[in-house]
Amino acid sequence: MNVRVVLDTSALLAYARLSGLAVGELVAMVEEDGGAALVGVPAASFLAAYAVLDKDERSLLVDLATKIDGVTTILPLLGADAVEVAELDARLGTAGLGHAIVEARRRGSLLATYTGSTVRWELPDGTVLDL
Amino acid sequence: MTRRFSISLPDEVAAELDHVDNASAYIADAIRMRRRREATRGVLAGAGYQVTDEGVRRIRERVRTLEARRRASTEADRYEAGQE
Repeated sequence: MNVRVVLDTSALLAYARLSGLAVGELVAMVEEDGGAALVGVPAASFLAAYAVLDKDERSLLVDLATKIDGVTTILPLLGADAVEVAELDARLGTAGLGHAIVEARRRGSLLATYTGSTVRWELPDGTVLDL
Repeated sequence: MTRRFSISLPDEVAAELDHVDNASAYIADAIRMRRRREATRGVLAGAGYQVTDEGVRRIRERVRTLEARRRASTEADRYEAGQE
């Protein structure tokens, strides 16, 4: 699976709350560029965002993650990654961020985020796309 | 499962098919791409996002710059590893 960009919790929240255009533009870009590239939605980031959104916002998040086959995909949290993801979340203080970091690192993807300064504690600068 | 169709195409569109090995696969792929685009634009528009060509162009430039920098960094790491 070729995941070109991973969205973290902050990116998912911004999309669902209509507080920034960048995620929409990113999704449109990946679709336009074609090929087999995908936008990855880490399951733990999805769960963390979903938990704090209201009903209408949740609907937008669910549509983004599940209604664009071949463009966005939910990335499952593997059992072997659970402890590392939990430790990252606890250390960084943001639910769901750890899974996004683990997925971006493993897949060699860019991590799209509104919390770049925090993410850069764990990922090289060149892999962080500030939204 | 497949279905057989007889279709009419404008000459300039049909000319594209003269250069492909499998016209059916080519057309099926084009329809899938169209469906993917419509689904994407539909979800974004349904959410209230008015995505512009200019906005997409700007983010593409930023993504490609980061990807190129990362590739260069990876190649440099490989080169250094080969020197050791």
